[in-house]
Amino acid sequence: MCNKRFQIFIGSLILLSTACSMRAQETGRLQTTKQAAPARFDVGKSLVEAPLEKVIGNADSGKPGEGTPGINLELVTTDPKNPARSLDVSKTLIENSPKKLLAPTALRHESSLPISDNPKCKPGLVTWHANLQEAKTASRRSGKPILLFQLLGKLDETFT
Amino acid sequence: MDNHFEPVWVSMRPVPQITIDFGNGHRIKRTLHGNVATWVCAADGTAIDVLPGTYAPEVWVQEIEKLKTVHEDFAAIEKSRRRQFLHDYHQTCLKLDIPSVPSITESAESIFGLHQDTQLNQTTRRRTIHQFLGNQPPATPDLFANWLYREVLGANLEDPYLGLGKVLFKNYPFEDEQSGNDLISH
Repeated sequence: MCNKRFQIFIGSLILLSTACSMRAQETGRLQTTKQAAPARFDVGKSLVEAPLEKVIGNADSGKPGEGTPGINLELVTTDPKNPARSLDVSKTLIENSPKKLLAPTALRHESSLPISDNPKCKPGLVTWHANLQEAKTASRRSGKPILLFQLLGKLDETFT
Repeated sequence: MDNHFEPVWVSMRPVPQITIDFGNGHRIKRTLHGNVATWVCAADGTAIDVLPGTYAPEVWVQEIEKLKTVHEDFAAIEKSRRRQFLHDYHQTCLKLDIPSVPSITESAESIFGLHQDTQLNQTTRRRTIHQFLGNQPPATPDLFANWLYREVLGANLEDPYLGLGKVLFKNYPFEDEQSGNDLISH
């Protein structure tokens, strides 16, 4: 009888210990979960997902700025009457800033690349002076006026 | 042209090019916002007058010949009187009725819009130029070029985006965030 009571006592201790252990583990998990709260950083994915939502036509409410934390969609034009129209505009969310692409330093970094695909050509049948100074010198000698042709682009390139 | 002038061409800035690749072997390539100006100058570089923009060839030749005559008169007078000469010349041009460009010229017939361009250049734009040059001390074209391209031809030579800024940046949504980091100021 005594032996049986001892077995029950030992069994209760084991159960209690197990229960405590499980509770402790559960508490630990909860604590771990709480510590892992910064995982909400994933919400920041919306910065890149928002344009995709727009592209596949799954924007929450269709109202600019709603349902997409971390980004101001008011800047994205949405036309309720013609949703497809806004898709092209939202491309700008994932494209690089054109200003950055055009910045002088950006161009310098790519100085090894050809600046322009613009084949050279003969600038007409006229015999052009190399520069204005040369034309002035020639004009003093000949008495003829200078004809200065200013242009955007270059006369000796195909596309000008 | 070689017989009557000392010709020289100068590029004021690059011109943007656009290529559309259709992906089936066809490509379209062209320039955007290009323009030209033809100055007639004395041997010391003094600007006598300028033809702004593109012209029907016949009208361009006719106007250049007129300016050649003006240069002959300019070169024939004493240097001290040249400033007054140019002032009087531009004032006289303002008072003249500029004859309209013939409606059909050989070039205007073959190039769409050239007649309208020529008409605009010969009337509105040249009047603006006469008003401006007539009130300036004689100077070389490089001093007037910025004004000419900006105010008359609508192309700002100092624009780093070559006139395409409005098209490129109109829908870019992070403008405010990046404004502090921009390498090029407006």
